[in-house]
Amino acid sequence: MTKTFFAIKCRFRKFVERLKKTLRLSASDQSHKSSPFDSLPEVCISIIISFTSPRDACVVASVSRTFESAVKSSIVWEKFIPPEYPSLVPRWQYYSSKKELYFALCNDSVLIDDDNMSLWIEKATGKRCIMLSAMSLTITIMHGDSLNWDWIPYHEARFESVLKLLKVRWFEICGRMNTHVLSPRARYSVYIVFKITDQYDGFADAPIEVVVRVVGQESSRRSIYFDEIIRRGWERMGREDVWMEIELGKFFN
Amino acid sequence: MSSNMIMLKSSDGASFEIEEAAARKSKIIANMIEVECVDEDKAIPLQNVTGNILALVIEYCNKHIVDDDDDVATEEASEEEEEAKKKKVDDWEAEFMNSMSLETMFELLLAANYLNIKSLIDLVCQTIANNIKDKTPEEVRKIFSIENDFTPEEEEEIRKENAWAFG
Repeated sequence: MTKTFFAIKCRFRKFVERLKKTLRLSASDQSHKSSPFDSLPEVCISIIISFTSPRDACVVASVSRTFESAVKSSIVWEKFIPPEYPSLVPRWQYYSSKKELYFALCNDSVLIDDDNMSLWIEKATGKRCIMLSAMSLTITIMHGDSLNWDWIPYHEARFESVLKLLKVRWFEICGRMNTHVLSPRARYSVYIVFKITDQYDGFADAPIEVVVRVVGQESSRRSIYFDEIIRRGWERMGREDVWMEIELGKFFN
Repeated sequence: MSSNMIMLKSSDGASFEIEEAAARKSKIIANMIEVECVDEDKAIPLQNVTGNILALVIEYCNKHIVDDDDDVATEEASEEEEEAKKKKVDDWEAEFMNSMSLETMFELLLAANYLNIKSLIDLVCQTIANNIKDKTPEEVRKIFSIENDFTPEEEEEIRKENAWAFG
């Protein structure tokens, strides 16, 4: 008995929906011009969307049913996935669609270059992002300082181990990478990512000199007061065990 | 270069003469030529393309066949020359697309899709995409007179799914 009632209810709901649609259609017939998109095969709409950006694709999915369906096509997401990526994704991982793979690549980074770099893509733009491991950095310390750093395993970090500075009076950290790994024609920001330990004494409010240089381009050089930024970070996030990042400069690739 | 001419006939009966090399930009016509479906004295009928659109297609093909020839002739051109040439083609393409209405653009895309001319499909799609970038769904609907055929619940759900993109 309940079943029949449910069936009738369902049918009634369907009827109402159909009626609503007919009403809407007849209303729109008068006011609605036909769209040039109506005559396009869906594959063409997918190609058009593939020329926008991942963010645009997710926005226009709410334009209409046809757009929603066109956005799902692998034509769209194949274009957003960097070409070398298929070789970087572990084979055991299975993704049901190119769209799913795209978002996996945004959320999980992969290690490349003998695990010295971590690579991921920025969700909104599909541009490649790189993080250099501390192992691949060149670190110079003041002569005479001994036992001033330590390599410690750190499981929550992307890389196997991180560098812990103990007691240094003067140091220089230098990272180098080939910009070919990055996306072409993209504006990049460079950050240093670090964590403050309990024994942090600070930089005595001294400015730290930072330089970002791309071969063949003018280098950007400025002084940053790390202590001040760290204090502000603490005010915002609390003095907990959090990774902080400070922007060192920008460049165009 | 052999400059065999072939004839194309639009759906509204207009005839166009075009160099075979240019016509081969269309995979469909190239295939027809390969399997010798093309009778030298007879025009190839293109049922889905009107004369004014076919004229645009031919203009595009002619322009790009010249460029391809240039590439062969100056294989050892310097990087700057290459760049200058690319800029020239880009400028021509921008001008070409600029000269047409949105409506014509869509008709041209349909024709390029039917004739299977990959580079022209990409050019038109890129131009239409530029009108979509950084727009809200409402703006896209308005620009292209698209009907919102979602129920309010469906629309809300799909927006929720992609909420990050609206941020």
